[in-house]
Amino acid sequence: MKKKDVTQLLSELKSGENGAYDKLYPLIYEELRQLAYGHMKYQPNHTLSKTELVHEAYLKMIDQSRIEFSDKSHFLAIASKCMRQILIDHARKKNAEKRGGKQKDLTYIDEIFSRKKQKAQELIDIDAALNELEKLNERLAKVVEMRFFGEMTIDDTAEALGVSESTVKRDWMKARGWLYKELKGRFEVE
Amino acid sequence: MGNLDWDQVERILDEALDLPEEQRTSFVHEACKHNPELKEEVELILSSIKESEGWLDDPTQFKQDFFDEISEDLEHYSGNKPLIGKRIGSYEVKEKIGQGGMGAVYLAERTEGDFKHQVAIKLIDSEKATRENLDRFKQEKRILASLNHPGIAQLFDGGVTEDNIPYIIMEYVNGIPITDYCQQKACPASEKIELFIQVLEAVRNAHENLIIHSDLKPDNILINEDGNVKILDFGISKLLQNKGDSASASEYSGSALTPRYAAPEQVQDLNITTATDIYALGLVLYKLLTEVNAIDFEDRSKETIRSAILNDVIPAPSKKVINPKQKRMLSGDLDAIILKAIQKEPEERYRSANDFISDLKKYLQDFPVSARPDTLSYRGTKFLKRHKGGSSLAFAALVIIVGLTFFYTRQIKEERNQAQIEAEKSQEITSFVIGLLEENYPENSQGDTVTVRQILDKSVLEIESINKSPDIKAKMQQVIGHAYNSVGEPHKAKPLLTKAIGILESEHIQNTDLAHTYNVAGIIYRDLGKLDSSQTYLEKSVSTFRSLSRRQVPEYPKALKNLAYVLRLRSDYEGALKCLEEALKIEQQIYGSDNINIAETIYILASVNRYMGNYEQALKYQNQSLDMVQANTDGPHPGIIANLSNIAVLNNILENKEVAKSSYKKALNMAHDLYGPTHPEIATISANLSSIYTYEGKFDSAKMLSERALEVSKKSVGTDHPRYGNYLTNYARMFFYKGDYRKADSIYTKAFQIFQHHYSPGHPEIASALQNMAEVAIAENELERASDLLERALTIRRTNFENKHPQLQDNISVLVDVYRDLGMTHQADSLSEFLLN
Repeated sequence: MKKKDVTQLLSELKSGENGAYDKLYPLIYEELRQLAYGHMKYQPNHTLSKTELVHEAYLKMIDQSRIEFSDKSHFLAIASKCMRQILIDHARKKNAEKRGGKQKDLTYIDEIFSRKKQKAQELIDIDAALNELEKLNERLAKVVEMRFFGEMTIDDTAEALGVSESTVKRDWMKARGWLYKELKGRFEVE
Repeated sequence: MGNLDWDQVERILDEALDLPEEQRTSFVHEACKHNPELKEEVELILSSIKESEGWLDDPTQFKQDFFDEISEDLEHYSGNKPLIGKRIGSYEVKEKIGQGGMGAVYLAERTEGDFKHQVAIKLIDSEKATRENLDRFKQEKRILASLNHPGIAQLFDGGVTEDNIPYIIMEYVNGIPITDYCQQKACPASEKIELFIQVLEAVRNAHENLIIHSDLKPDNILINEDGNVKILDFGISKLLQNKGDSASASEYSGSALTPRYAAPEQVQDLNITTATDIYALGLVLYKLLTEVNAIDFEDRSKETIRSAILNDVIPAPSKKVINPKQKRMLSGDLDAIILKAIQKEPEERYRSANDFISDLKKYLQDFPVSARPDTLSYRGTKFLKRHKGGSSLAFAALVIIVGLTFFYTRQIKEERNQAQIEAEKSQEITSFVIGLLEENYPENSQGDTVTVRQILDKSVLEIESINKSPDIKAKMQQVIGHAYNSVGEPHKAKPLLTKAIGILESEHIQNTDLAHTYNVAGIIYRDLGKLDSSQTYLEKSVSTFRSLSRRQVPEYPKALKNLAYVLRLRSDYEGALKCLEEALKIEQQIYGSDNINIAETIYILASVNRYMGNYEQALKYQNQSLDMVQANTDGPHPGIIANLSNIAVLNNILENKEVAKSSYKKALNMAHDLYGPTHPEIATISANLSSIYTYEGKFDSAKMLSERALEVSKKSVGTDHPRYGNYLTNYARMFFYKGDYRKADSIYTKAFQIFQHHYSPGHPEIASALQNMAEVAIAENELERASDLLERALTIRRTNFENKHPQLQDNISVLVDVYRDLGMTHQADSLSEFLLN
């Protein structure tokens, strides 16, 4: 799949053509997954270069000269959903390994080092809560998906959802409060 | 959410959020006036919004943390590996070989000409790369690099990559965890313990350098391809912990992780010391020997695990196994050793790795371990308790003298019943001594610190000034002299007996007292190693009894036996046998056929036969004696120990090595129970057992036992005693078999000098010593010297032994070989002809 084709699909999506979303989603998903693995493996020094994966995927997949601003936000929205999916898949896998895999003897030191490592469970909890929130107000869940999983700017999010920036901010605030209320007690909030 | 209308909730929220913060409470109160449920929900979300300020605001960081977290498990992802092929320090990273709590480990290599140097490089999690850590890391890496022990994976270097990741370059160890190794090889317990001692030795070295591991576990204790122990990550944990980092397990709960090898002080965040390592090692040994974990952490929450570490009584290892053989092996010493290592209180564990090692070695050698209560002091306390009630201390002391006499060594055990009877018979004298003590030292009646020796010392002074008839005075000197000898001070006994004999002879007193005093003098000279004087006195004793026609008193056969023993020592075997025959006949008349005294006589018969080379006959006597002692006593008894020990000697000679070893071990155990760890008997048995280990090539065990024998005998008889010479011989033989001829030769020579000092030039012991030195000379190919030594030995043996005596035959056949090697065919042929005839 070439950049041109993805870009084409994206404009088809905007013009409402059937099947465009279904074709785009797996493409973006796969691209993001590859990018994410790279990050996971090349982890030691990546704290320093904070690359936003979704944007990296966008730059890689889309021919910049042939795209409009609104197309970008649509791409990012799909990528956010993919990102959410990818992260949750990994988190689940990780937890499953922890439960089922070969029990290695874990020691005091391992314990110290794994002290902050509860992100996988936290992600799974957020995902589950978002599914609940979606039933109350889909847009609130979307805002979280785009802002948190997709790392989209307020600007992009507003564009993708077709609302004002202040609404995005307000939605984010309400969604965050609600999630927090639901998840509080399950983990420490940093 | 129940029947709440979310739209309504959001509407109120929106309005509230539009208001300044201070007006929100009253607004919500008003807006939800009739719906407390609604009000609660809105208030909760409002306060949550406030509390969660900033939460999820940095998704990049959040995801990075998540990636870091899961990337540890991503070995199976086969994408590109950014580090592979890169250079760290002067090494090229080859492949990832592991992933631990601290970070990933890579195999790296450096090529210098044809030589490839492989190392392991450990990258430390970025999370830990704080400024403070890096500084400390640089300081400590120097100390760690100085830690140099074959059992510890060497730290070569460490540094920080361009990206600020600290790394450690270590010795690359191709091995598997000790537990897996033992399982795969189905190692027997003894092998596991030997391996584990290697681990302890490595840890001891680190501890001596003030480096604590603090994260010991089977995964860190590897066995490499050569079967040697390599401990990983020594001291590294310390490098990585933040100062003041409250890195305690107590801080959070809910994680699935278990600090399986954490000591109580670790989960409590208390001081970590070398005792912390001892604890973890105790658990490792537990796991090694039982193949299960000491504390069951499966399906337990963090908090109950913590509580288990702090409070649970860990069951003895033997309780964790089902196999009865394994259970027997573990129960007792190994249980005690492991439980001592894993005490909850650090100060109750082994004080050092060395103490731990020493107990395990003792276990392997069948010595009592320190982890178990001292049975001797226990016995001693019991003994005093039994005898002290109501009676005076002085009396208790005398009872102890008799007791000591009773329990004294094999060499003087002939006299123990005699001493008992003596004590009974001279009740008059004894009570006089007691009266004397109490009268003059009333304070002794209350105190309990006065030793037997002190009482004896004071008694000697009293006798000098006492105004009694000469025969009573002589008798008192004899009793006290005898007691001195019984507590191992023949030097102090000798002048007393000389005086007693002097008195009796000058008064021309001819009675059983004189005969008996000669007898005691004989014993004392014997223990002083002066065998000719001893023989003279014992012969006087025997002839005095005879001239008095008192052959039916029990003392007479006792004197005969003492004489037989000394004659045996002086290699007059025929004379010894004659004495014993007579003693046996009289004892059978006195006691009937089955009696402890008779058992003793048969025992001496056995040893004379052994020295004559009649091993089969000797073994028969020895077993007969053992059966008789066992039938006439209960519990541990010197007679059982002595017989077992000689049965072992004989079986060893007759090549029944396993029977020999098990007899020695039984004897050693009983001797420990009866005498305590520093008794001369322990030396004898240890030395003999050590020689079996020597022949089996188990030199470490042999060396330890042999040194033990020397140490004990040095204290009891000194370094100029023939017995010390025997132990030296034994020690030298170990070096000889090990191939350390120089050492063997110098120790053999030392023993030879001792023997020369004590024995006549024609004594068989001298011959044995000569042959020993000859064997070394042969090994070093100094054949001339060897033949000279062997000829000297042969001359001695020819005058002492019959032609068929094994020692004589052996002497000849070795000499024949040496002659042949020297090309002295003629001499060789004529000697071997002698051998055939």
